Amino acid sequence: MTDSSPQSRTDLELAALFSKAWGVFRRQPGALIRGFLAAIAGGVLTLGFAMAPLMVGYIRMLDRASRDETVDVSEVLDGMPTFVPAFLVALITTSAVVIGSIFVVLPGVVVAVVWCFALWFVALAEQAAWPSLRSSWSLVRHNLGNVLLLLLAIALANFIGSLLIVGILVTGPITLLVTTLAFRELSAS
Amino acid sequence: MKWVFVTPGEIWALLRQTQAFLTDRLDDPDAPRILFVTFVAPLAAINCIAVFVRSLIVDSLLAGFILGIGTFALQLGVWLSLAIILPAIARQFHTTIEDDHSFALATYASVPMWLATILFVIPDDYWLVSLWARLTIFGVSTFGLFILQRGFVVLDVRPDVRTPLLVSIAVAYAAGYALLSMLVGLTAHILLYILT
Repeated sequence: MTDSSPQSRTDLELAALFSKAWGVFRRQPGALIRGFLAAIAGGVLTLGFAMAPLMVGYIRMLDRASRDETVDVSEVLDGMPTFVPAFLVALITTSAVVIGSIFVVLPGVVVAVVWCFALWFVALAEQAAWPSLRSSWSLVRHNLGNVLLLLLAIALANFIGSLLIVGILVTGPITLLVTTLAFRELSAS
Repeated sequence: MKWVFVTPGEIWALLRQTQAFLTDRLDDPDAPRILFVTFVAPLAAINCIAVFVRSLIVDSLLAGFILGIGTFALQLGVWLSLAIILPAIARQFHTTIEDDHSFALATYASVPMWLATILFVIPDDYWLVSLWARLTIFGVSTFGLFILQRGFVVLDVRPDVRTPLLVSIAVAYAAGYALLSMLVGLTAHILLYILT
């Protein structure tokens, strides 16, 4: 059997990604958990307005950690200069998901999936809002099976993490690390 | 190829002579759009009709319509997700399943569940009967795993990866189904709350 599907161009090995993410997390768990909490708390305290830029800062922090650099919680603020594109991406995505969900959910899920990497394009490719949404759509379109499987694995890991209540403090950073590593791998191809 | 709707004879052949049926169908699988029109949509509609009828009996026409459409969307979403991620799961085990084969396998493996969802017509009022109905649907649905396993044999998937592949697919399927049914249920109930 041969596979000629577009999504076979890059093979994401989930086990290897999770294993690498776990290795990165183990090197500096304190900083990564504090960064995760800072991004969430900052988002909540600003009624969601600063959530996306702080998440951009956290993604950059995770990217540096994955290259074995020492990171600090204050690096979450590195995302603030991208406030406009990050906020717009979050606003457009959330609005589209809500509107799409009214039409029996599936359109909303589709929008959430095709734009799932938009924030990563803002954070790691320094793109503006609309180009990042287009880049995410293009990346997902060419790797649909891989991305769906990745999102499912992430949802499952976070579900298990939230069952243990504080487990989400571990699975949250790890799954964001996995997404960052997957983004690097997929966008490099 | 053949734009012919699924017949009871075909379903019977799939359930009784699974491997022979799959050998025939997977040799030259139908395109996904043909499968969707001739096989998936008619069989996924069973659940939709069952939920619609139940809601008509115990609730209202509006509830029946919204929940019925929601259920249909759920079945299509789960089928599509399974068909799309199956090749990606196979690649985790260094084996390859083509897209057309994946859509065909996802379709045939879902048939037992689609048939069993007729039991959703039973109202929730009698919890014991309702529990029995749901357990029966679950039990019948697991026959889909057997169909998948036979499919792997037909597609010549390496014997050492068949079981881990099957377990991974079952976990992914259950997770996807749970996630989508939660989203569909939530949205349908919010819509009903707003509209009534």
